[in-house]
Amino acid sequence: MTPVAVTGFGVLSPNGTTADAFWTSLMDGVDRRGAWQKRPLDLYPVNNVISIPEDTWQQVAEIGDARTSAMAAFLVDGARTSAALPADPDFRVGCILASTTAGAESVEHAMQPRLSNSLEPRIDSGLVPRNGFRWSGPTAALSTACSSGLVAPAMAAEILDAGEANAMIAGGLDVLLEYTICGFNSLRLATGETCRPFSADRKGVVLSEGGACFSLEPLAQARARAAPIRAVILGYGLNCDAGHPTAPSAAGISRAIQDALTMSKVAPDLIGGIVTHGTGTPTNDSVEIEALRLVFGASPLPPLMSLKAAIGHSQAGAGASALLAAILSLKNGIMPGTARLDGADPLLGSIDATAQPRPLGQRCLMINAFGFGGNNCVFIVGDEAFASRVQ
Amino acid sequence: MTHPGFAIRRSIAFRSESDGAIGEWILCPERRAPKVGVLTTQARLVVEAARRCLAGVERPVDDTIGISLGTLCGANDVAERCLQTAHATGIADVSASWYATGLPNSTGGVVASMAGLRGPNLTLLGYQAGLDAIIMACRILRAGGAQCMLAGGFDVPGNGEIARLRNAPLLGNTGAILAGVGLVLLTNQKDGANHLATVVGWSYRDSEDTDHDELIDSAIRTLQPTPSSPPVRHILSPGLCRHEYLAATCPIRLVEALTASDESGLHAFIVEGHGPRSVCLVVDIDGNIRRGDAGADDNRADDAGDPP
Repeated sequence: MTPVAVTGFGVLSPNGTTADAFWTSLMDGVDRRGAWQKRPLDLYPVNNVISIPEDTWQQVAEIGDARTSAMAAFLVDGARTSAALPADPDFRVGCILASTTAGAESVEHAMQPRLSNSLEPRIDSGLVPRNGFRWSGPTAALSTACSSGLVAPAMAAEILDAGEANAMIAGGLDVLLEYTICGFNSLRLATGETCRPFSADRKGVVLSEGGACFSLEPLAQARARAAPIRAVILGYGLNCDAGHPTAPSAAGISRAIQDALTMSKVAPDLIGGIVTHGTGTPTNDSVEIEALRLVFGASPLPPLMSLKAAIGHSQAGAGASALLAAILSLKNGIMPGTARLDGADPLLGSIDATAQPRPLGQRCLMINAFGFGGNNCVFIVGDEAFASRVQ
Repeated sequence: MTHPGFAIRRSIAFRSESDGAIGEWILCPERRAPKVGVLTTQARLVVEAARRCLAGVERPVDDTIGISLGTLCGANDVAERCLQTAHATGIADVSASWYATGLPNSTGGVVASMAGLRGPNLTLLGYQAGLDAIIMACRILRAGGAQCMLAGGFDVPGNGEIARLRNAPLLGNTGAILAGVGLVLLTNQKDGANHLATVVGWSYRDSEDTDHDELIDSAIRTLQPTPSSPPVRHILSPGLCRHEYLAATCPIRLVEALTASDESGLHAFIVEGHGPRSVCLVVDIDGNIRRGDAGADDNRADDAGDPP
């Protein structure tokens, strides 16, 4: 694959609307959640969710709006603006966005008369923004559950590689729906406590909302137009377990990891850290570590972190947020820790995961995102200097 | 760009009856499966179509077949039932399987599990998503991400979804909104390999003023620089058809063209009407190679063709 430069990004998280706010939240681990406003959650045993505060939402959408569409437009605008894409009409720009539950938002609104008036039934996903945008390249809306936020940039990279567009806007996002809260309660995957990835006390997921979106273009083109090169996507792995709908598979995940390393031509010992899927469920974390060991063998695993301890699990937003965390880590030369982690679970074996940020060794990171349906996606990204060395 | 195109090896389309009834013969016989539990109607429909598409295909143990599906409604009926149950009688009555089953990509996951498809597994959303899914499958093949791809669209709208869609501006006056699936089995084109048709290219346009000529020319240029004869045009817009199959509409039309007796040559499939955006797929149907296949009209499987 042709190396792909990340030249811009937009972000929306419970911690704000800027990359600085996002980075601060990963570094200090402070919980800045707002209350979930749509309806009381009393009927659910676990109603511990990390919502975007209403004053943040007010910068993006009104209550009752189709917030998925509003969030998508906000993220796309951020990615396009920060990439300073040329206004030349021959510069073809496409868009691929992903959501786990985009269609379910309209179902949920229809069931709540208070909200339904403002949400017109539609025959598209509402993900790819229309107002104010004219797409001269390919567009699509994806849904591969919680791997979506990486799968969309992966497909965008293929479109760029084939010359179908000069730049692609791609990412993942999800608005927190009652359907998701209900579902994670029924699956008993949600916890009323804090999310503690890699801890022996980890009890499950804390749901949240948000996402990130990226402006991508071929590295050579980005250099030629002196675009801001924030990171370089070197390769990815994408596959399906073909197994259980909700339980992860070490075999499937390890195949995706190996495929990503092969495509990127990066040896495992050059990985400076891993932004894990790290949901904080007992099963996910142990299977993810097992899958990594299948690839890294007897070598020590690189330092690990999970951002879900700080900002929760935003489903399709999670993979994209993890990619943004990696990009900002490369920029700052520091990988954030896993918030509030007080010692790793000894049953996970020897892993390098702490609450403390640590300096990056190699300027190359792996990012993992896995989803229901057995979907796995793994990215390898490096800074520009690293990309020049390995390509 | 130079690329020989993508071979369509197999095709299959199933449709519900005009009164909405879904015949058992187009659903897989299992109502639950060991790894995935209870199967939705969506899953049973697409599993059966996938099985017939893959029947007889030689598959090495370590093959990587992927699947790329488009849907407008996904499994929103399950999501609706999940919330209705929680509100009516409480969370204890909500099945643990409903959340994953109600996600748009659940059908693709079930097909992958039951058919052992370990390649990329994509679900695309929207009315045009059946066509998007075929295009995305071609991209994966081009990138070497899979040896072959099952691709197409499906929709099995529930009553609640149909009622909501009736309020959508473009679907208010359509005839029946029905269930259907259209799938093709795609591989990279190889000289001498048996196939039903070749995907020549695709294109997009985002403009209120849709110029079909430009869209088709652009699609043909995607992979092959020299256009041949003018293609037969299939323009598909929501609400135009007496029977509306949503994201399956275009894939079903494609399968119909592949299996008709006198349709050789170039065909352009254009889906429009979802905002100002149009999508076009151009296919070269090879009448000399097609044989023994069956069409969507009689709900039979296409069991012709060599293994990919």
